[in-house]
Amino acid sequence: MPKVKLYDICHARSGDKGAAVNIALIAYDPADYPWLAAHVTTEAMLAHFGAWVEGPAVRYELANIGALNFVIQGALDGGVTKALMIDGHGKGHSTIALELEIEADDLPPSLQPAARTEQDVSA
Amino acid sequence: MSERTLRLGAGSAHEGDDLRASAKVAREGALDYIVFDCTSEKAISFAYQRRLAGLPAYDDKWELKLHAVLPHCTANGTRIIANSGGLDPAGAGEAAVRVARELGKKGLTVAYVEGADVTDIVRRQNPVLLETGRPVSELGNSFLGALAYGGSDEIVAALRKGADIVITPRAGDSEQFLAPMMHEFAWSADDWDRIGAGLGIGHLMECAAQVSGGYFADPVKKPVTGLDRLGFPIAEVGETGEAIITKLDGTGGLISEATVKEQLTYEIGDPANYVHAAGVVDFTTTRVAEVGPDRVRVSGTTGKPRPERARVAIAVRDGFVGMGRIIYGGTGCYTKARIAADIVRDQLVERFQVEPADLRFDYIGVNSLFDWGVDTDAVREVELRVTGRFPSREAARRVQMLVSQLPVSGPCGAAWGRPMDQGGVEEIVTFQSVLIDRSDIPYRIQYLTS
Repeated sequence: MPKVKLYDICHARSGDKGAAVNIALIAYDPADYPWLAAHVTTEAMLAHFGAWVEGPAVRYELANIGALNFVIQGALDGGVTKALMIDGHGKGHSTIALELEIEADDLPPSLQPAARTEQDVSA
Repeated sequence: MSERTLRLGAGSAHEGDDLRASAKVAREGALDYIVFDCTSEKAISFAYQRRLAGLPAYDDKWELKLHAVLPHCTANGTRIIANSGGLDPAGAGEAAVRVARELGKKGLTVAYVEGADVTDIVRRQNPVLLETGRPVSELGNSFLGALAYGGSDEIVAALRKGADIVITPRAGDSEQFLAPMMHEFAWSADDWDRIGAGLGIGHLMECAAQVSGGYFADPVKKPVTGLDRLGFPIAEVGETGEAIITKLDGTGGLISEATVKEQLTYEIGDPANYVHAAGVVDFTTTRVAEVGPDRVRVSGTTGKPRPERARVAIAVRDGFVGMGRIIYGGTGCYTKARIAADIVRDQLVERFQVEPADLRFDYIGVNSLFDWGVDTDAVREVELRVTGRFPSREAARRVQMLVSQLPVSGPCGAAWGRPMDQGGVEEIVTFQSVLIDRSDIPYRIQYLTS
């Protein structure tokens, strides 16, 4: 099964909400948003972060800008003023999320061979 | 876009932001208003500590900000809004008058909002903390104070009275941008879609450079040039609550659909219910479109009624953090750092009865942010960072003390740098929250003239 690294198809921003972190994944190509929404679940995100977060996590959809927003509880060691962990602001969590590799039967549209050929031709 | 356009500039995203960028946008941005966000949990935490130390408890870089922009603001007719007051809005107001006089700017009206410090009211009402469900009284002596998050009402009132500079203790960062829209366009405080749209624009602007390429730049996928001379954003707002987010020509950075989308999602929870004191933003209706180089149109944001009650931040003294740091190099450096960590842990636990759960050991360069799968045999330098939570400053000092003994008594090859490389002690002030009735907050607006 092909593996897709999120870094290759989306950008991300994260920040603190008390002891929770919010991580938004934003598709570079809006056409990839349905693929993201179908494959990047809260379970996938929690499994990726493993023991680095407590959970639970909630996922919100922003189809209008091609983005998913994850709010993960218990991620910042008590929050920015109290945390012993270095990144109590959670700004680095965006980069951690983008390391996630998703195994899927189908590729997101922007990575499908046809799309690549078109891009190559237009380039 | 309607005919009339209001130009709002971001002056800072936090108390210590880039004043060259503030001065540039104030000088050349043809702004109606410049807005300084000077606050954050950390900033308010420091303000409480400064007050405990007998120091002024408003933004300690407030005078610097005014020196940077006030000459341009008076020349261009730009009014200033800032949540620089913190725990001492009167002090911030007097400081503004002082700076204006030093710069020869006579006759300016400085408004400052008092009453957000509701410590006595919270003590009397003794509400339960939202985080723990326990009453405030159980905090005992660790309860330091209670500060309400301000809305836009007081800023609008001060603008109506003609204030040139409006200072609040801790108005919401988005509300500071909303207030001039409400004032100039005469939006009603319960026109929830316009309030939502205005707060949404404020949310995009309040972190200044974070919408113009800062925190966005990725050298591989999202290159941004000119980060050393990044331009702060300008919002050109229309009466309907649509806006163009842009920046000055010739400044560094980038404003694109992608930068705006990233900032739209920054620090939000449920995007359909992003709660502020003045209203609730629904970002699921927002449209973002690039209309030119460094020009992005934001439209369609809607809103919902504001919360019934006002949220108040309860500051709590929560002990001290002690830190020690040391770097190991060469083959086996990670193993050496692990051995060093064991030495410090054993000493703290056995000699000083510290709970192991109150300690943390990070290996910077290997796995301090995440377990990236780094090959620990391949790394040739790693920094050990030891931290712990302690009830007293004296106890917290032991971390640095024990780590600083390692170069002589621990594994070979330790580098420990200057004193500031080695760690230290910080007092912790954390925040919880309670709700009180808005009408219980005794806001008053005071006016001074320079």
